[in-house]
Amino acid sequence: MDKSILLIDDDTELAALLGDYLSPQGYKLTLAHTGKQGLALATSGQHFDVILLDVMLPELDGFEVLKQLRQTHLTPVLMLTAKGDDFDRIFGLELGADDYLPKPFNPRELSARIKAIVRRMELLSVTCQQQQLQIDKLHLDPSTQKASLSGIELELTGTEFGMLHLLMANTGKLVTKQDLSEKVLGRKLSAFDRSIDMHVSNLRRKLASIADQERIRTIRGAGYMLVEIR
Amino acid sequence: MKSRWWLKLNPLNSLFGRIFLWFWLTALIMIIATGWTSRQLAEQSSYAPAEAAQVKKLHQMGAKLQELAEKRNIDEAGLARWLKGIGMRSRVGLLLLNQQNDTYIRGFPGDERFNIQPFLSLKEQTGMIQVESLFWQFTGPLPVTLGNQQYLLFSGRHRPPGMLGQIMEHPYLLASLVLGLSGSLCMLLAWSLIRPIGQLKQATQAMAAGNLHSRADQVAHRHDEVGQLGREFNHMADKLQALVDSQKRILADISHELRSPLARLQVAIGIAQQREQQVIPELARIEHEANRIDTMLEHVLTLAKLDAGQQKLVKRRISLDELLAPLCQDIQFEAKAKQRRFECNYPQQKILDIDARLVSSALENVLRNALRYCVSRVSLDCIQQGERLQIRIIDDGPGLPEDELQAVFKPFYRVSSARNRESGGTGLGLAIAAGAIASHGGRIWAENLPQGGLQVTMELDSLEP
Repeated sequence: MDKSILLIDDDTELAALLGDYLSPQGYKLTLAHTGKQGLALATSGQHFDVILLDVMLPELDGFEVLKQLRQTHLTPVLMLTAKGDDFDRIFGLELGADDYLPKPFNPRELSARIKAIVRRMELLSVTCQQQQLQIDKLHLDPSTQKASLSGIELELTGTEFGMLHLLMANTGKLVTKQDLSEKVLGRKLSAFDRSIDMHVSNLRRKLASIADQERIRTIRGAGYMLVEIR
Repeated sequence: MKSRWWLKLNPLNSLFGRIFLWFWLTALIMIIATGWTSRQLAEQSSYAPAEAAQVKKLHQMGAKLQELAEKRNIDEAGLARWLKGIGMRSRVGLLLLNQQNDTYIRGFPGDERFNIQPFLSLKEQTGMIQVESLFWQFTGPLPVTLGNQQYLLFSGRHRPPGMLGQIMEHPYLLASLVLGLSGSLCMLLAWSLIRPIGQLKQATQAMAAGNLHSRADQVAHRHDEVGQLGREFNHMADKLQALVDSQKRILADISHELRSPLARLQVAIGIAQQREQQVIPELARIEHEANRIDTMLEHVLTLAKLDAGQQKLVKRRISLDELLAPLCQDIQFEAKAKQRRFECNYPQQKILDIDARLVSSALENVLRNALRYCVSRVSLDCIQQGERLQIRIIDDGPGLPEDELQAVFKPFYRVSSARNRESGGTGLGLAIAAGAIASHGGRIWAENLPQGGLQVTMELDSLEP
């Protein structure tokens, strides 16, 4: 079955080319050329497996679209950031993007990233049969893709859910950044890639908003560890 | 420089010296001329008929003296004491002129070089007369006989010179005072004229050193001609800065604009590769070149940001091991593929407070460069120099001509001997490295080693331990 992708980019020519490039690989592209249009489509109830979101958009820019989208939807978002602008990247991840790719990019890299996100989502649905996890007041149910703390449901993106799942499955043990990157983001950790840290810090913030306890510990230079709180 | 301040006084090559010396010379001539004239005036004396009151007083004094002299036998020293005593009590100055040997005894203080000349000419005078000059006024002469000696007595007022006059009596003190006072005033004048020029010079030097924000604001608010010059300088600096900025911006803007077509090109190449069943070798080459443009654009944009100081530093504490381990791994891998040796030695515990990504890319660029030009081996080591950490990257390649050691850190600079595309790279790697290190307040430099090869040193602040 074709995966559906929403591409929000004001470069119409590039969007058309990407459609041509991705459709033979089994993706069905829906195009939007303004932020407003894209946001409307993304929140219309139509299902998208991945949203490709350009940062530089007229009127409503990519960050604003992401911010508004995240209030209601947890659809995986791959940000297309401007090359040479590190700040964009970090800001995008802070707002809850699942991954980023500096533009211009090698299209093979793009399809690899999309594939990783799609595979992750599939993996999450395959784990339906997996058992539910309960670490003190933290509850995670792979079948419904829902996690809750003290009975209050957490609004997690797919990436954040994947990270929490991996950390909870290894409670009390070190989970390296390499593991997190490969198993959750679906790619090898590159030097000084801070996306793992950004996702973990988002996860921490969401947990802290319900109960302010340090559940996820940083092991400097190595990775993270989820600890049980008694 | 400071020990040679006196060079400033050389009028041949210093405007300061010229102004100072000319004004000083003029001032000294004026002072000496005035002093000489006033002294001439002071020494002139004039004669006038005596006033009755003064004559009466003179006679009283004479009688008193004679009375005293008859009572006691006296010598000259005693006479001087008496004169002083009587003079003090009656508030007059007394002067005794010895008629035989032209010596005089006086009863008033001050003035060692009292000019007796006007009195000597009164020796033959019979009637009373008043003689006066700038500093004194006397009435006389009254002949008196004191202990076998014939004297002429004069009485009158002697106005001792004021402090200024006293100083004028000491030639060395006077000379040093005149020289010091006029000298410092002239110095002040010359300095006030020259100072704005010095400030203008500093602003110009700063601009020549590359600081385009340098302005001569201290000079520009003056209302005189130097102030006009300062304003013109600022105007010129504004224009120059705008021009340079626009030049820099053009490069960044072009790179920005090139990104969209490049993105399309890359996707188009991807489509072509997908569609063609048999492999077209040129397609791979096209893709390779597109990737090269991609890298170059990224470098230009990074450099433009570093140049404009817009790069936001995301600093955090990081150990040297965290910074270098992944990098050394990558380079080790590349070195192996090229059959070169790579050694990496560093103290693991050192902590740095840096933007790890920027510094890492700087190190990577320098390491890649070393790997490109080395013959058999590249090494990286670290030494602590006071509070700063030096990371040194050494290769055994041909090194660089001495005059190109600094120029290699300029954008698009290619060393003359290696001006071939074969070496690859965008020509921006070292410029980016230099920009990244500079944005951390560090230094980067290259030097040839005596045993051959090039050493590039990066110096950064380190936190203990």
